[in-house]
Amino acid sequence: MVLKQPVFVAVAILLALSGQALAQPAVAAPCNLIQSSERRQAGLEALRGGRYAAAATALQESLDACPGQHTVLLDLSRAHLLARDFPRAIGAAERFVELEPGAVDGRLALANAYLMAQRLQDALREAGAALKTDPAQASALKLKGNVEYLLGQLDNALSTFVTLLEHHPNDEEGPYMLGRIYFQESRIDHAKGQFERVLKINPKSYKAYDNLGLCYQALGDTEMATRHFLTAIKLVDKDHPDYDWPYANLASLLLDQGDAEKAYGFASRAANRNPNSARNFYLGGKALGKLGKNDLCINWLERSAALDPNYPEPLYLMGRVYSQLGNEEKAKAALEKFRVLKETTSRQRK
Amino acid sequence: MNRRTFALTMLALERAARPARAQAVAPPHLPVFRDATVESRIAFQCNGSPTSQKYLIETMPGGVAMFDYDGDGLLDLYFVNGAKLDDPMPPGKAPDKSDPRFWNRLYHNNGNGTFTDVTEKAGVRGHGYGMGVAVGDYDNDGRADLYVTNFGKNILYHNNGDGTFTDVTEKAGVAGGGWSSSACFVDYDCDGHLDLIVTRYMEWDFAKNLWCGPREPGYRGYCHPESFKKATHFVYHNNGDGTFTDVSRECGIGAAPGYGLGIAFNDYDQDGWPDILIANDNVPSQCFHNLGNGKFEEVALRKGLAYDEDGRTFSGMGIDFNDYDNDGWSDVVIGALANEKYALFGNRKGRFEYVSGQSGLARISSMHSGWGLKLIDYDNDGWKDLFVAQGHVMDNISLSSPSLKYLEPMLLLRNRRGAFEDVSARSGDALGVPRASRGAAFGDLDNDGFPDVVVSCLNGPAVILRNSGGNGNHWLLVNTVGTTSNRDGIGARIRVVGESGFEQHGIVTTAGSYQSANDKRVHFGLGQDQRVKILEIVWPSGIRQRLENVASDQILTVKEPPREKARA
Repeated sequence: MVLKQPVFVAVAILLALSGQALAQPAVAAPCNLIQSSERRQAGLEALRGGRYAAAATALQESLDACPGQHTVLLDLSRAHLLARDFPRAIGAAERFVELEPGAVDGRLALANAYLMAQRLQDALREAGAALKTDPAQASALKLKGNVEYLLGQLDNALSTFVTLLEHHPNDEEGPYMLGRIYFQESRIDHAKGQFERVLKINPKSYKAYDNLGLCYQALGDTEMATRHFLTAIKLVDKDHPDYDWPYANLASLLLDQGDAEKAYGFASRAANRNPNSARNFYLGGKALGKLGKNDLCINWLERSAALDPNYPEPLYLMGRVYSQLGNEEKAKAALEKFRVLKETTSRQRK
Repeated sequence: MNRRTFALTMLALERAARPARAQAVAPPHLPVFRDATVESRIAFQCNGSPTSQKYLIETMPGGVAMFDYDGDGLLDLYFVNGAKLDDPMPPGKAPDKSDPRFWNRLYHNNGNGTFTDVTEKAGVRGHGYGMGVAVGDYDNDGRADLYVTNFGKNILYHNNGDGTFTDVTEKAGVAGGGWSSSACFVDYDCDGHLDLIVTRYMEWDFAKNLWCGPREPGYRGYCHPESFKKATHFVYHNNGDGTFTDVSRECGIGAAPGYGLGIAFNDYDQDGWPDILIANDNVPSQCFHNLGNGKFEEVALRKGLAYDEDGRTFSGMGIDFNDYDNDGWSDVVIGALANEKYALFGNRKGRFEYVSGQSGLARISSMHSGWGLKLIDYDNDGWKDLFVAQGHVMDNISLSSPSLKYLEPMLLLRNRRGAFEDVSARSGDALGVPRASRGAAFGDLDNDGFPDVVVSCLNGPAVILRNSGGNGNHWLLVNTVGTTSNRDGIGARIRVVGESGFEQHGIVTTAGSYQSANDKRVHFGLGQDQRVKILEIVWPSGIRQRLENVASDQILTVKEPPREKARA
């Protein structure tokens, strides 16, 4: 949960930016304005349809038809970003920034591209540059705070989100991220307060309900935790078919309570919604293991480990299950992989 | 899960999430713990000497021992104390124990509920900044000796048998150094002489101290152990002539550093050799399998003891290594910090399964921090319950986490056939008092067959908790005397079968809990069984001894028979 949220936020910021009107600078360059406009419309249409590679091609053609229309570079950067072609996304945004170094939108597009490419220090620099122009710019503050959070600069991130909250008291992103940071620091009561604040701003914030569930779980109130996870599930069940977190979180809670059967149900729902989540498959595998379905358990754990080779939990459980089954060779191999991974992450943390 | 099943599950969970109506179930008559500190005339306080520097040692002491130093059949008490620290400590200056407020204290049990402070006569006030204590008759002279761990050099006090002790540390060669925490006496090579194993916490000294936590007034905290280097543990082999040899590295234990806080031993795989378990703070626990040739192999990861069930570490502190589910295999319980869970590992014939969730321990302990702890059958129903002395490590934890408290009440969990029920609230007001508990020792102070508890509290009065007993259940205390084995019989495994056929298992040890030493005698609650059908002892020497038709409600001293007689 912790790692994915900021990326999600980054994409959200990007999408929000795309809707903003961009200033058209006066550049005298020969161009075919009609063709450029048509290709741009086609590109934006493809973007809306989720055909990102086609969008990038059309937008490049738009730019080629009229190089002076350089605001297209921002759309092009976004198309490359969504197509997960980060170098090209960065390239397009950089070209825009070269042409308009003072434009906040350009800096933000570039910062987003850096963030997605995991060039966090560069992303931080560009967000800072945007804030020099407009210190209260909401998207820039969110981006800066998220990058600081990812860099582990939690004090800085806290201060950035507090600033966001001061300037934009009705923006739910501020208290939400403050809540995440407090949760990360095990300051559960403070986290809970922030998520409750999110709900005052947006009573249908499923993310706030989900995180409140986590807070109650950490505070030992499993009844309230269950209730909040269930509310989050109700809110996302139809309207947000890709959001899997409350299903997984409830599965994890049920596993802690020893109810493997129900846990398996929620874990498989989570995995259906997001088949790319290693955690979802881990939780499903763990539940299956507790139900004594060891073969299926191993399948789920292998899928989990394949989805995220840096995720140690499935390897540990695999080792335990193989050991139970008397397959000491496979147990040893899984546990050795787990041990090496743990040592690496411990060193990285230091 | 199809949509209909899913909807039903949602409904069931919603219902379950509503507050349950109280059910009228008559509680069983359970013993309670009474605070007998004042009447006992014990006025000990473990002084950590807190400073604004947040020196990590300030929050870690101290231990307590229950042992019979004068052989009168009554358990006496020894408390370990900190020492005075300057704020800040000038370079090169050592902690100062000269002020009597910082002395370790020995209290003689007068047998009438009172104790007398005999520290000065006994000569056991200690030096250095005290941490823990271990008890064992290392020279087989029939008198219990003391080993005190410190930040600084440790101390071995030889019991002279006349109410005094002699510091024999240098002669014995067991001073160690650095920051020692828990220690235990165990005859790991079964040669008839108790060896000594000492956990060390970390490589730390005043000059290495760091600022940890936010730089806001009041928010400075004690550092996470990973801010400092791990330390190696010491293993001292008893040469049988009053001296020990440091075999830490060659035996394998000293080659595996950790952040050791708790230590216990038992024979987890029933191969006849005692295995050593060390609870580490925030790194994997260590299980040293005894290979029987003087060497150990670290097997915690392989055996399922290193991590919790998700492969995560926890802040291991107090520890016990005993059979909580009466299946004859020694299980493991380890205390941890709030927002983690106390770890319970069920022994499945030599392999361990993390069962904190299914036993109820995870749910109950998630907001608590557990130091001294032990599986004790406080109500004599035949099932070992869990007592935990609690308190957070950070004295300012409520600033960052208002729902967590530095001072915490004690926790008593009743074992109901392998599942734990929190009975703290109905086990006496004394348990509900919030304290900064650290070491805890367990044993029968008044020989009434119901185990009592003594807890050392940081910067607050130690507390003597008397078990009221009185529920009519029967019991047996077994006091072993080794002849071929070490004199204490430490390491002997005992199997008891009541007249109802109910079977239990125990081991002779003073180790376990946190920095503390417990009653050496092995306690069995027998429920309604008035007699023990079979009492079987496997001594460390390998000698097996069987007694039949033993009466309950007695302290039974059993002497190890000669090898030939045992065979006959």
